Amino acid sequence: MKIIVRLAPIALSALLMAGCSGMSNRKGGEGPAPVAGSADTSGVAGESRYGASRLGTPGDPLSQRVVFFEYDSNEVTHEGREILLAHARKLSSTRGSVTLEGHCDERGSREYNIALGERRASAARSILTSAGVSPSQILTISYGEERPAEMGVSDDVLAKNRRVEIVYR
Amino acid sequence: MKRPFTLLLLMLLAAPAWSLTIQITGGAEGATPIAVIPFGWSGSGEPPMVNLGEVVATDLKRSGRFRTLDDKDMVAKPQVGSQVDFQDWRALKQDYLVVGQATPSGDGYQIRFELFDVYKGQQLLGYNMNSNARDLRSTAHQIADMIYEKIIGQPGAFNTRVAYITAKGETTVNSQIALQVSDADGYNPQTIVSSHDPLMSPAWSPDGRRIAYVSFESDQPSIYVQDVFTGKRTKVASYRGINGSPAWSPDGRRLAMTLSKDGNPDIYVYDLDGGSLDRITNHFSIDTEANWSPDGGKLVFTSDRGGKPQIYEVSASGGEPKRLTFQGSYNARATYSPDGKSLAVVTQTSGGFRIGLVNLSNGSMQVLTDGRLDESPSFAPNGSMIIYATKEGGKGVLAAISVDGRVKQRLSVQAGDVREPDWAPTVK
Repeated sequence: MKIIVRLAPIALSALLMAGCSGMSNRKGGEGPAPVAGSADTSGVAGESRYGASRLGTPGDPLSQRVVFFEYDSNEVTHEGREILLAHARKLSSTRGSVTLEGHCDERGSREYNIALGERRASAARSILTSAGVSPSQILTISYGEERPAEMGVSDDVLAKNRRVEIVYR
Repeated sequence: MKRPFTLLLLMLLAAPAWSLTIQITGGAEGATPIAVIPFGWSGSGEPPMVNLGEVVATDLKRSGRFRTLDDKDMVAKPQVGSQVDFQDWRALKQDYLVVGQATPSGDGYQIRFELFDVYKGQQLLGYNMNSNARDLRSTAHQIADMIYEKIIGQPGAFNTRVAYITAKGETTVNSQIALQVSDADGYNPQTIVSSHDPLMSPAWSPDGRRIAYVSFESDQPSIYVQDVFTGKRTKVASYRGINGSPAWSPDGRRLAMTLSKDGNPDIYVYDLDGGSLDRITNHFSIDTEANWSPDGGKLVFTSDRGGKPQIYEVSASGGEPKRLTFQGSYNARATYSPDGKSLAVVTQTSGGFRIGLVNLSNGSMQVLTDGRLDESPSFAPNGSMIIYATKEGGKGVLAAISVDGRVKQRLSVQAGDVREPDWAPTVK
């Protein structure tokens, strides 16, 4: 634990980079953008003195910015809820703002998937607002199946594409 | 983070982009045999780059209604009616014969063609047409339309266009998305909008002059209407949330669309002249993908109000929707056939998402295609064929199938994905 705490700044930034590069390799804005990234980093530094070692733990929900869904479902999983609640705490304290991007896999018709992606983003939004985040801090947008995280047809790829990305603005 | 403004508007007739190739698969059992002789050239200089006879033959073949004679089986190659010996073509069991010839005329060409009934030895059509190097394919499509109409008794749809979306590098920052327009056989592709952000749902206006589409170029999706010839465009919907699925009323004065500004996706109708917006559906489920009946009286749309996506119908002035599809757990993206008697839909089968044809008189469904992910069906203006998007080797390609399911053809671009075809109306 001690070692992890000492390494936290480096480990955490590495984790943030890793977490984003896999899912959010589309545009600079989705990675650790200058403003949002620095806000994250200062938050971590502040908290690490008070048992924030968990932030440096690989399983820490705040290090994850993507929430996954089952096929044709907008039900947030237990794991997804944990991730969203971690971001809700962050947003409540920093008053920062996020865009929740809803995405789908390629199956089904495109405009229906736009609607489904919006449902996913709205489901994520409800969890944030019920945890105290102001609606004014949150924007939602659905990209349907138009912006896949990965190309391919395997179940693994499809699962990675059914998601809400939490993008700090 | 605001993305740089990367949208380009290009006029039609700008430089062609990726070219398409066409491949016809499937037999044509019961199709009418017709011999289309390669057109002759009677000038002194170079013959035209395009052999009109070959274009005409390909058109007729891909309709599924004709079986064309191979070049190598042609015992003679007459160019005008006086050279035809009908015995030759009767021996080859051909019902019809087409001959033609191009001659130089000013800066262009004069194209003469004749259609014969082989058994009666009678000329059914005989025309002289003016053309030029740029319009040769279009002239050939017009000839194919005239032949189709004379023999089948319905207007042809060969001299028409399709709009579709192309995409490259979608998972990267440098994704290139384009809205293109090409001839219905895939030739002469031209980009009319290009962007690094998603473009979706192109829809031709009934007069064939404008295309409505969805662009994500700003921070949210918006619906635009763009003049195909001038490139000028207007933003018609940019509300909070979804602005999607534009669909023209048959009179071209209204656009049905999906908006979620009032909480969740519902169908609205926007009056393009008056600017008024009417809400047609009001339900907590997803309502989207509206399409007008040919008489303009009704709208069909996709809704999951029953739990799974199914097709519903509602009066274009609103009211209580009625469910139309009951077969299968997923039916979406319905579009009326031009005669209003059937709907093409995306239907989920055990093998994947396919194009189905719903008979509106009895509700039965015929699955026409056999792909894993077939979507976005669009009827030819004469109702004879359906163009749709499918996957081949993981890549999006366009395909067309005759409505009887007999003849299938594939259109593909050389690079990237192609999808969301919309067949333009016939414009006289």
